[in-house]
Amino acid sequence: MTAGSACLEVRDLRVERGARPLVSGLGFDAAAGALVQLGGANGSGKTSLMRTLAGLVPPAAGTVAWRGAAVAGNPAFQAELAYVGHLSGLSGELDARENLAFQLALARAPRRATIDAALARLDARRFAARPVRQLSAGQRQRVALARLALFDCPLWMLDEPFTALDLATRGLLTALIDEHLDEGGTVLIATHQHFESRHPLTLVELGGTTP
Amino acid sequence: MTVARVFSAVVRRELRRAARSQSEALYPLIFFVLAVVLYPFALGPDPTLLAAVAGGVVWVAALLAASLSLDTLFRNDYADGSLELVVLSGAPLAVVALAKAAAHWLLSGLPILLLAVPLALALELGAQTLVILLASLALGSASMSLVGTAVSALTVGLRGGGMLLAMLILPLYIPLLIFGAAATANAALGLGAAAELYFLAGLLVLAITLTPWATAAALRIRMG
Repeated sequence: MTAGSACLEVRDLRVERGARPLVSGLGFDAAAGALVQLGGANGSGKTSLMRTLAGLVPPAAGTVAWRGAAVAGNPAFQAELAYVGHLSGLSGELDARENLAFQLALARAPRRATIDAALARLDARRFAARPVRQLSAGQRQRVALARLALFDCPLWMLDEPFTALDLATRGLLTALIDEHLDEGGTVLIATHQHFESRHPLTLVELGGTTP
Repeated sequence: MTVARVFSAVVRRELRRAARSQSEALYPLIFFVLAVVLYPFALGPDPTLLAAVAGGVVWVAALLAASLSLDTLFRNDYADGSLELVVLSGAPLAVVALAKAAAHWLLSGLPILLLAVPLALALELGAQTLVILLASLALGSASMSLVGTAVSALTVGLRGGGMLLAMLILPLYIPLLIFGAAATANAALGLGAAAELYFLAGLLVLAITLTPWATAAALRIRMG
């Protein structure tokens, strides 16, 4: 593990899309074991904020730091981040195993389980041999979420992870999140839905800055 | 070793995807054949005339076919979010870029090279000139894939990206076209073509050295 405490620090963050401000003056800490929910109505900027926090987009102002170092283009941060975005990140021509094997080959993050074990955590082994293109939205989301069980990353960023999931799989994901928090992991979750966790939840409400 | 692992993972993934959606990989090749075949209809069946223009015809058709196939290089990865994951994975993006270009050459440059043989012979090109044409096309098509990958990365996700890509890429291909067609024309006249081939080789070395970094930078910009 890298030096510095496992903490995501957000200070005075301003996120824009085009020239339109979505979020401004946002600040919060997400330490080890913390569960932070980014809430807000549709269009309040949850996805843009998540992409900024993950270091995909540079912030318009302010800082996002992990273990005291800025996140954008930071290899130590990338090795500790598991990101499940608003897009699945799965290639339609390939099946679930091939997609996860590709992610494994590229990732800096250490592996935690075998591909089949990771798929089993989301109950996704039944359709693992079918091209992702042929899967339903919920099945695809399960394969995308299998990444969380595949890698050993302290920080999870989940953008609307419950979308299209059935009740049983929502339970599997909640259990996965709780287990990760038990182990001292950090979870950032962007959703406007209510969800149950055994752990205390810090709510960061977006909105109000939208003109 | 990370570099070798990332490179081979990306190349194998691209080949596997092409094998599963063959039509996408085949269209540019069919286009290449059709574009070459159009010329005898326009110019008439005179063997001396055809032999004189054959090299240039094949080169132009190869260039257009390559720029057609570049459009899909990053489009699906961008649309399904896998490009996002690649950028976040921390894998060296320049290696990913080089592997993408290599896969593009294997799927487009190499088959064009093979198809050029019967097409050039049908256009009455002599055997010796054919060797020079293939040598120039081999060097040139590799540069086309490398430069094309960078421009493709720069235009991915933009509206009308396909047309924009063609407009940006074709002027960049002009130096390759000049040296490639000149090499073939010289060979047809029985002159040496070594100088042109060296220039093409030099351009290829330059493309291998510079374009992976340009592609990596372009991909980071397009994420924002």
